[in-house]
Amino acid sequence: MIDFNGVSCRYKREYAGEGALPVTALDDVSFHIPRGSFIALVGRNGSGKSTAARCMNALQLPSGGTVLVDGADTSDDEMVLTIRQKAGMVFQNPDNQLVSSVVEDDVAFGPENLGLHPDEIRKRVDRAMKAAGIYDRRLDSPDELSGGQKQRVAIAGVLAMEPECIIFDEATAMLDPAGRSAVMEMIRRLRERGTTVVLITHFMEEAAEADEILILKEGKILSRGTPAEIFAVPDLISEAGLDLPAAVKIRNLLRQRGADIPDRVLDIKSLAEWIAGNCPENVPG
Amino acid sequence: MIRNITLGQYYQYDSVIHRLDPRLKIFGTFLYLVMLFFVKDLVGYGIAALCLSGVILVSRVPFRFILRGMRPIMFILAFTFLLNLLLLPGTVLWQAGPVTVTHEGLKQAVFITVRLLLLVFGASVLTYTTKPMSLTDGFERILSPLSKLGVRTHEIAMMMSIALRFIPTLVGETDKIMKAQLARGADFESGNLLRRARNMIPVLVPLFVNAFRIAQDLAMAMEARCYSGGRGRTRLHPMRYGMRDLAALMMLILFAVLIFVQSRGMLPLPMIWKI
Repeated sequence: MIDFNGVSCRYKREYAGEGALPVTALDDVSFHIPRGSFIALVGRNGSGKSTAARCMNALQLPSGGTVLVDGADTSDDEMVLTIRQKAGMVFQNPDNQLVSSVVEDDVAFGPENLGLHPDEIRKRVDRAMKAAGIYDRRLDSPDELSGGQKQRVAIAGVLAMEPECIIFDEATAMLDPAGRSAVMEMIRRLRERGTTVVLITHFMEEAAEADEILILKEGKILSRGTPAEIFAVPDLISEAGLDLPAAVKIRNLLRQRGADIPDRVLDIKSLAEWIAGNCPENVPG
Repeated sequence: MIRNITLGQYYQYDSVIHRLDPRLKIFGTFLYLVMLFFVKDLVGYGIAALCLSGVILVSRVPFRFILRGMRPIMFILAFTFLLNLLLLPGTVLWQAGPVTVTHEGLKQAVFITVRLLLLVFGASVLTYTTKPMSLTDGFERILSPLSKLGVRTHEIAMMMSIALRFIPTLVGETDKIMKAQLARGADFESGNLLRRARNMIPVLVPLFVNAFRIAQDLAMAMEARCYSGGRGRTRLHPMRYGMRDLAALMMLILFAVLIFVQSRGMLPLPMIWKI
């Protein structure tokens, strides 16, 4: 679905003045995201993950290498709209990405830009709002919604364009726990529908749900693997400047005390199940 | 602090007037405003007031909402009324010391006041019954012939609707910054006007910076959703004139003719206080 071939992004920092060295956001990065997969892109601030996201949507063009979305080069002007329709993007700040004062008009913004027939727009908008669970708020103003609901409006806006891939650029970073879990629930449903999901996040609990985790550090790929593989390597996560999920931390502490917990135990639920299954004498009924 | 200001004064209701095409409502309001200047006597104003009341009744917007439109222009109303009343020369009606009220002055004062009131009430019916977004859409479509002359009508309408969308966001932002500066010991309440204005600088500078950041974010989000200007864009709610709009147009024309004919004294009605 998305291919990065030796992608480099260099740009001059704003206000840096003359003679300042350009910043390298991405440095000769190559990777492939298969159709229908769920990839988490993680890394600390400045690791280049947001730059990578913008490259996937042709919002930013690489200074070296090529980015292909479904085979189309993002530097091809003719393909830009097709690419943006195929690879939708949800941004971090729920307030700053909604265009209209009415929920359904905002969801319609993408299809309207695609020049679809009003009846087709209506159908898609209704479908997207239902999928995102905001149908009953369709005539409200986004200002009356919570952060999580606004973010679901943004997701509906992307869904209405019927993309094959959705990129979440730290879309949960500004939400409260309820909003965050609502967005994650959305992602799980998208995955069931076969939509490719690229999740850029700081939260390792979220990344642990992905098929694969791609760790970026200083513009380069530090590691790539399934969550079980990534979290099994000691120090890899801390080298990337990140933090292990709480369940994995507990798992590792239990291992130090001799418990033989397998690598696939990554979240609280499977950890609890393991404990209940292996130490039944300590778990009441 | 300033969270609860209501902007725009749309009155939510599903009346015939609400459902009229915004283009027709804009045109109708414009025609009404122009016709008010044709009126030459009190009966003419009576006709206009009757027609307007009819529209207000049908629109179901409570009269007290319409009357509210008077509040901001109270001062101007009183001012023009008094000036006209006291300063126009003519036949003296009443005199007390240096204060004289003439017949002409009284007439002119009443005329100007009634006209101003009818203007404001008429315009407020438009804003009460039309969502700000429909208004900007309507303006875009009305002005769209100008785009052939190079006027960027779509962009102007888009800016207007985005400005409307972001008013509450920026109000919230201002509130946040003011609280942050208050927590640092800022003082917005004391001192003279100049001093107070100066004290607002620590609010305005971060507000502008934030506004630019929001604009940048929004531009990127719009681009990501395939926005590339007005060309080739369709709408979820395309504007179509219906029978309702045709009927409304006929009534508007009838209104205009009535006012015009009365101003010429061609109606079998008396002319009261003709100017």
